[in-house]
Amino acid sequence: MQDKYSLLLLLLVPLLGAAVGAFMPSRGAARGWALAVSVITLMLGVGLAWQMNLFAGIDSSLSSIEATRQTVQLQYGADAANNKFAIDKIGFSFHLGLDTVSLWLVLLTVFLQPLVVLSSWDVIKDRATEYYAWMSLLLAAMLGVFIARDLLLFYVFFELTLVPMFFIIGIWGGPERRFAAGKFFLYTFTGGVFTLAAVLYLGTAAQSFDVVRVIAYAQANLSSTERFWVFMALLAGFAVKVPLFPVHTWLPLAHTEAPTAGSVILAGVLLKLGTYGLLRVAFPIGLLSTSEGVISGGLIGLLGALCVVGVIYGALVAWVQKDIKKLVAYSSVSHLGFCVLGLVSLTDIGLQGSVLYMINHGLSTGAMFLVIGMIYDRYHTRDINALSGLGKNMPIMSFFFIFFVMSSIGLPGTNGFVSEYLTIQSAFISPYLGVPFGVLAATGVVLGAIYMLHMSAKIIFGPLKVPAHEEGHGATHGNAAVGADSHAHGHAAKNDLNAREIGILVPLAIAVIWLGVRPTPILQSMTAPLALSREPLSQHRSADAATSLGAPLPAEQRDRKSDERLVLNTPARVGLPEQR
Amino acid sequence: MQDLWIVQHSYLIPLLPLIAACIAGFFGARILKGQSHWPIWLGVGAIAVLSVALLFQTVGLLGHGAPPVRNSDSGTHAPVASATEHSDAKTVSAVYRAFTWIAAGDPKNAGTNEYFEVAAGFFFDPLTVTMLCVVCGIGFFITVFAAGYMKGESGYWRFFAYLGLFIFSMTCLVMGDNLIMLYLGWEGVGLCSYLLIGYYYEKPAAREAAKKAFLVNRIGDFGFGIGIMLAFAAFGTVSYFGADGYTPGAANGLLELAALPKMGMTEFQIQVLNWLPFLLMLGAFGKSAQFPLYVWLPDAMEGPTPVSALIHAATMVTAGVYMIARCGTLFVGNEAAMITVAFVGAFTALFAGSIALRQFDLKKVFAYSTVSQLGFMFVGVGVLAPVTGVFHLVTHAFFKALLFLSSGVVMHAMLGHLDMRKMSGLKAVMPKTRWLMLIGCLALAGVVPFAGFWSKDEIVASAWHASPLLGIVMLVTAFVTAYYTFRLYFRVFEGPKVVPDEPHPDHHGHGDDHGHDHHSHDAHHHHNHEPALMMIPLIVLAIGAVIAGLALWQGHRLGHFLGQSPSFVGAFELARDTYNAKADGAHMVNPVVFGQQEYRSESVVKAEHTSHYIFMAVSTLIALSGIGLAYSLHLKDRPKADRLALLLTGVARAMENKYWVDELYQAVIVEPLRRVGEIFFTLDKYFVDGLVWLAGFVPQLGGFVLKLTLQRGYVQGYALSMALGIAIILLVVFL
Repeated sequence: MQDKYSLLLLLLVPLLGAAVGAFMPSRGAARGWALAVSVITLMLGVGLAWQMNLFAGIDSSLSSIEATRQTVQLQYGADAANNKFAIDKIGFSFHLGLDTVSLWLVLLTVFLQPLVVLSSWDVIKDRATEYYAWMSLLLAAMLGVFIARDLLLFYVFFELTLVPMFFIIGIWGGPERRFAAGKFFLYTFTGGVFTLAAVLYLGTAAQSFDVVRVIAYAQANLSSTERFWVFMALLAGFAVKVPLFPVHTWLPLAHTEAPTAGSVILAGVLLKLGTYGLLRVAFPIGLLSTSEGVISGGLIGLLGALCVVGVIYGALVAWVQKDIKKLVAYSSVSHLGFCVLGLVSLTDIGLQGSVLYMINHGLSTGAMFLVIGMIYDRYHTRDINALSGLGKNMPIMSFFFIFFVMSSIGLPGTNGFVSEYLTIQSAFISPYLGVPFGVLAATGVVLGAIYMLHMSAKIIFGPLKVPAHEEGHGATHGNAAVGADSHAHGHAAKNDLNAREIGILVPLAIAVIWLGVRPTPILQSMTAPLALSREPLSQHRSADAATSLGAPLPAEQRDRKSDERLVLNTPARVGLPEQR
Repeated sequence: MQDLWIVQHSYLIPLLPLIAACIAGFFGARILKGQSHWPIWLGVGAIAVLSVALLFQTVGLLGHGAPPVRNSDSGTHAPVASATEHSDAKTVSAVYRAFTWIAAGDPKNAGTNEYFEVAAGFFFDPLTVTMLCVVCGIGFFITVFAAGYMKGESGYWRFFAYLGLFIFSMTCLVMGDNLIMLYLGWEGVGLCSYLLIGYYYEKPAAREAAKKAFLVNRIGDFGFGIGIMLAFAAFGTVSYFGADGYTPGAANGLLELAALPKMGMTEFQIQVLNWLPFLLMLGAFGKSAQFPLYVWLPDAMEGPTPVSALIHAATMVTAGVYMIARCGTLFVGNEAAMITVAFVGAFTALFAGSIALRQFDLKKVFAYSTVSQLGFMFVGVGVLAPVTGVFHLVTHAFFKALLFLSSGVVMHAMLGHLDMRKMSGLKAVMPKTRWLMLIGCLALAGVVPFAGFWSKDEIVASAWHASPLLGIVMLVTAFVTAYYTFRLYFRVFEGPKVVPDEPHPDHHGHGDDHGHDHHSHDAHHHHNHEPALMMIPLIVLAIGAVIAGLALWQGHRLGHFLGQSPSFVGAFELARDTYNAKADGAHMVNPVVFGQQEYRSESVVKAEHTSHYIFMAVSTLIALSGIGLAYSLHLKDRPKADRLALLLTGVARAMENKYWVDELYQAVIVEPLRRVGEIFFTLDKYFVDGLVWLAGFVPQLGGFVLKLTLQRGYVQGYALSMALGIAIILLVVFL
C-alpha cells in the first residue's frame, strides 16, 4: 500500500506521548495528556483499519468479505536496502508491517488503552505523571510487538513491555507489590532470554532477521534437532508469557498486586503477546517444514495436553480462591488454555477461533478486572467473604458484573461463546489432537461456570454486607459521585457507579455483544494470514506468504509468481499487494 | 409456507420481546417504574398474535403442501436468503436466514468439517409453530398475570425485563434452524432462569437455587455441546436441513445426513451416531429436569410464582422434549438411546411422583409433579411416539401453568404461606380460585374429559405397546399423580376453614421501600384475593385445560399436523427402516404416533382401537381410585393419613428429604471437586512455583558468586548473569 508512515506514526505517537508526558506539571495535565495520546492512538488504529478496507466487510455478506481478504496490509521499511535503520551487517532492519491478524490485536490494544487511562483517573494519586508516562510507553511497546516484522525488533518490543509494567506493579500496586513486580519481571524475562537465544541463532543462520526470510529459511534448512531446540527456546519465552501450565505461577500474584489498569493491560494485552508469538514465530519455525509439512505430532499433542490441564487446573484453583482478583487471574490460566488449544489444533477453525479468543479474553477479562477495581475503590477489599449482596446498593455495577461474567463463561450471544466454541471444536477436528482433547477441554465450560457463578453468588447475591469500617467512606464517595441520583431514588447510601465508570464499561459491553453477534467479519478476514501458521511456506507459496507477512518481492518475480500460482493451484484467496 | 408474511418477517418474533426487554431494562427503573409491564405486554402480545396467525396459516396449508410460489424478488431487504420452495404433499416447512452468524475456516472447504458456518436462521414447520404458540400464547397470559401478581415489588421492571429476555431466548430455541441456534436459546433461557430464580437475590436460598439451576444445566449442556461438536466433526454441518431448508430426497442437513444408510458412512460417523443421542440426551435431561439432573427444578421454586409457571412448568423445561422430537433422526436409529430415554423418563416420573407424595409446600408439590410429567413426555418420545410427547407437552403447559398460577393466587392471599398444613377449606375465601384449581387438578390427575387425560393416555398406551413393564410403571405413576394432586386439593380447598394470619417471613408481596404502597396493597389483600388482572389469564388457561386435550386428540388432529414436519417424517422413515426390518412383528413402529396416519394398515387400526379403549377405561379407573384414596385420607379422615405416615415413618422421611439426593451430590461430587481445587492450589503455591524457584536458584547461585566479586545489587546481579548468558550464547552462535 501507498501509505508508509501510518505504521510509524502508530508507534511514534505513544512513544512521544510518553516522553512528553513524563514532564507534565500536574496530575491533571498528566492524565489529560495520557488520555489524549491514547485517544489519538485509537484513532490511528481505526484509521489503519479503514485503510485496510476492513470495515467494508462488516455489514455485508460473506462474498464481500472475500474481497477484503485480499491481503490488505501496510508496511514500513520493508525494503532493507533503503531502510535508514537497517543494520545490514547482522541482517536487522526496522521493518514494520500490518496484516489482519496484527490489526485486530492492535485494535484491541488501542481500544483498551483509553479505558484503562480513564479507570486510573481518580485512583492514581501519587506520582501520577510518572504513572501515565509509563502507561504510554507500555502502549508503544505493545503495539510494537504486533507490528514488528523483524525478529530482533519483535524481541526488543516484547521485552520492552516488561519495563513499564514492572514499575506500574512495583510502585502503584497492592501491599505485596515489590515482590510481585520482581517475580513478574524475573520470571518472564528469564523465559525471554531463551527466546532471544533462539532469535539470535535463527537470525545469524538465516543471515536476516526478517520474519518471512527466517521462517522460509528455517522451514527449508533446519534439521529436526535444531528445530526442536529452537522451538523449545522460543516456547520458553512465549509459554511463560501466555502463561501455559505449569509456568503460570507469576500470573496470579502479578495480576492481584497490580493496580486495576495494570491488571487490565496484563490480562487484556500482555498475555496475548505470548500467544501471538507462538502463532507468528514459534509454530511456523518450530513445527512446520517444507519437506515434511507439519512435524512432530507428539510435541503438538504434548502442548495440547498442557492446554487441557491448564484449562481444568486453572478453573479448579480459581474456584477455591478467597481473593476475587486472584480468582479472575486463575481464570485467565484456564481461558488461555482454550486459546492455545485452538492454536495447536493447526486448523483454520482453531486458529481463527484462537485469535478471536485473544480479543475476547482481552475484552471480558479486562472488563472483569475493571469492575472488580471499581468495587475495590469503594470497599478496599477483595476478600470474597467480606463482600455480599452488592446487587442491593450497586445495581448498575451488578448489571455489568453479571454481564461480563456471562461473557466470560461463554454464554451464546456474547463474544465468549464464539471463540470458546471454535477452539474446542477445533480440537475435535484437528488431526493432531482429537476427541479426548475436545471432551476434556469442554469440562472447562462447566468449571468456568462454577467458579464464576460462585463469585457472583458471593458478591452480588445474598444479603448486603460490606466491610464495616468502609461503609461510611463508601457512602460518602458514592454520594459525591451520584448524589443526585441517590436522592431522586430516596435510597440512603447508594454507592453505585458514576458516569465515568459507566462510560468505561459501556464500550466494552457493546464490543462484547457486537463480537458475539457478528464475529464473522473478524474470523473471515484472517483466513489468509493464518494459513501461514498452519502450512509450511513452500517455495510455490512464497509469493503468497511474502505478501502476507510483509516482504514484497521484486516486480518481475512477483509477476512470474502470480502466473505460477494459478497453475499450481495454490490458494487463490491471497492476493498481491497493490502496485506502488 | 415459505412465502407467508410471518415467515418472511420472522425476525420480528425474537426481536420484539428483545426490544421490549431492553426498554423495560433500561428505562424501567427510572421512567416506567410500575408501568414496566407495558413493553413486555405489547411485545409478547404482538408475537403471540403472530404465532397464532402462523398456526392458522400453517393449518391452512395442511395436506397440500405450500403453494409453489417463489418469492424471489423479496430480497430487497438483504436478510431473506432462502426463497426456495418445497412443495411436496407430505411436509410443510420454510426457512428464514437473517445473517451469517459464525463462519470460521476457509469457505472453499464448505461442506467439510474444516469450514464451520452457522446462520442466524429460523426453521418453520408444524413442530416449530406448535411450540411457538405454546411459548408465546401461554407466555403472554402469564405476563398479564404477573403484572397483577408482582405489583408493588421493588424490582418490578427488572422482573419484566427478564421475562422479555426469556421469551426472546425461548423463541430462538424453538425457531432456530440449527443446533447452535438451539444452543443459543438453550443457554439463554438458562440465564433467564438463573436471573429469575435469583430474583429475590438477597435471600440466600434463592441465591443458591439460582446457582444450582445454572450449574446443573451446564452439566447437561456440557454433553449437549460435545454432541454438537462431534456432530459437526462427523458431518460437517450443524444445520437441521441445510441452508436452503428441507428438500425431500436431498441430504444437506445434519438430520438428513444422519438418517442416511450406515453403509455409506465412515467408521467415525457411525461411532459418532452411537454416542450422539446420549450426549444430546444429557442436555435434554438437564434442561427438562430428568433423573439424575432433576435436582435443580424443585429448588427453582424460589423464583416468583409466574416464573415457576412460565419457565419451570410450561415452556423452558419442555425444551428437552422439543429437542428430541426435533432431532428425531439422531435418536430413533439408536435403539439403546431410545430405551434409555424411555426408561429414564419412566423412572423419573415415578420417582418424582413419589417425592411429591410427602411435600407440604404447594409449589414444591407442583414442582415434583412437573418433573414427573416431563418424565411422561420423555417416555412418549422414547417409545417412538413423539406425537404423544409433544401432545402432552401442550396440554401440560395449560394445566400446569394454571395450577402454578392458582397456587400463586393462594400464596398472595395467604401472605406468602404455601404450607398446606397451615391452611384448609380455602374454598370459602377464594371461590373462583378453588374452581380453577379443581379444573387444573382434574386435568393433572387425568380425569375424562380434561386435557391431561387424553395426552397421558396416549403416552401410557404407547408405552404399553413398547414394553408392558413401562406401561405398568406409567399406570402406577398415574395413580400416584391422581393421589398427590387431590391430596393437595382436598387439604387446601376443602374441609374446615383455616387461614394463616401472620405474614410469612419470606413474603415479598411489597417492596421494602414503598411504604405507601404497602398500606394500600395490604388492604387489597384483605378485600379482594382474586383481582381481575390475575383471574382472566387463569380462566383462559382453565379453558385450555378443559378442552385442549379433546380438541387436539379428536381425529388425531395434532398428530396429523405434526406429521407434516420434516423431523417427524424423517424420524418415522428411519424408525420404520430400523425396527421393521427386524420383522418379528411384535414391535412394529406405529405410524400414527409419528403423525403418519396414511401408513397404518387396517389390522393395526383395529387392534389399536380396541387396546386404546381398554386403556382409556383402565386409566380412568386408576385416576378415580387415586382421587378416592386422597379423599378418604385427606378429607374424610385426616388423622388417618397422619397415622399412616407415622406407620411408614422411614419411607415418609425418605420422601420428605427427597431421598437425600442433594446431600449425595454434595458429598460425592461437589465436595471432592472442591477438595481437588484446594489441593491444586496448595500444589500451585508450593510445588509448581517451588520448581520454578528451584530452577531460578541456579542462576541465583551464579549471581551470588558474581555478587561477591563484581556486583552488590541483587537485581543487577540477575541482569548481569543474563547478559553473560546472552554473551555466551552469542559466542556459541558466532564461532
